[in-house]
Amino acid sequence: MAETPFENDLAALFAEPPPMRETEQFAADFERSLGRDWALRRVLIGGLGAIGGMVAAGQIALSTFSVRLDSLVMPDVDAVMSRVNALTPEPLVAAGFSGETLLMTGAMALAAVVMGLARLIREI
Amino acid sequence: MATVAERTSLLSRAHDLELAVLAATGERSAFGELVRRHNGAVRGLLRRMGAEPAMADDIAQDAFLTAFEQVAEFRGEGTFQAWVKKIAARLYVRRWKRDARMDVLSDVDAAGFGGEGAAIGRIDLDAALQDLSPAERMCVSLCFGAGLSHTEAAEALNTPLGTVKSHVKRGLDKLRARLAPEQRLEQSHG
Repeated sequence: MAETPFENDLAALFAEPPPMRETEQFAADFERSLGRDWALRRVLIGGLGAIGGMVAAGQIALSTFSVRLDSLVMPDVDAVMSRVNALTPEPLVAAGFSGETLLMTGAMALAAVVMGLARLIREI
Repeated sequence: MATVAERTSLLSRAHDLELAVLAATGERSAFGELVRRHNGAVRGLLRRMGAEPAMADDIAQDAFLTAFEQVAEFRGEGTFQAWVKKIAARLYVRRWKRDARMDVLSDVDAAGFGGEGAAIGRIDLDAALQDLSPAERMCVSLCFGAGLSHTEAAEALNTPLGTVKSHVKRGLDKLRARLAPEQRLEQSHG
């Protein structure tokens, strides 16, 4: 940009910031605001992920995932599922939740907790 | 694991580019260190461009936020400070346009801007800038403070290139007249 000596000197003068008060305060305010935005974003992403996860779990349950799995590799899936079904509380069964749904939800909840813990440890 | 004090000390010794790389991985404290180092320069530029102190701080905050979101794009070709200054200058221009102050750009005979209160006789860029019209001040600050080319400034201002060049020339003439008698610029150069 600068072409003449005067313009070079002017650019150099511009490069020297004027004395500015409260630079530390500004930086602290910025970091606080950034942290707030970040937390909000994380909650939003986490919430959307949870909803998506539940929808996915429902879809898997409705597609009779365990029956297909059973026919593929695991001969005793039936036994596991019948145990899970037996453990499913009556009100949930009455509301239409199968043991399969609960199993998937539980697995996803566990994964979410593990990820949350990992994140927490990293933050610390 | 490093303590908070050790970590702060490490960050304070790191180069801007290293901090930017860390910030790109989501390390907020690294970006905080960059803000700590450069907020004075960015806020200072905005004030030199004509922003009120509160508005300058507000725009600087937005500029740093934008920079944080785009920090992965910073490749270190120029300095981090210059990069953020360009972001801040463009944000200020946008605010300036929104506040419908663009009409002064076409007013080539715009009146002086706060020259009465300037510290007369003192070699002070800030005081000298007060003698410029808002349009001249904006164009000179964009080109010499934020490092935009005439073309980039014209694009940012959505103004013909010739108008920007004209404001820059007029602004430079005024600054030269104000600063040259003190011989400081020439002496520092020679």
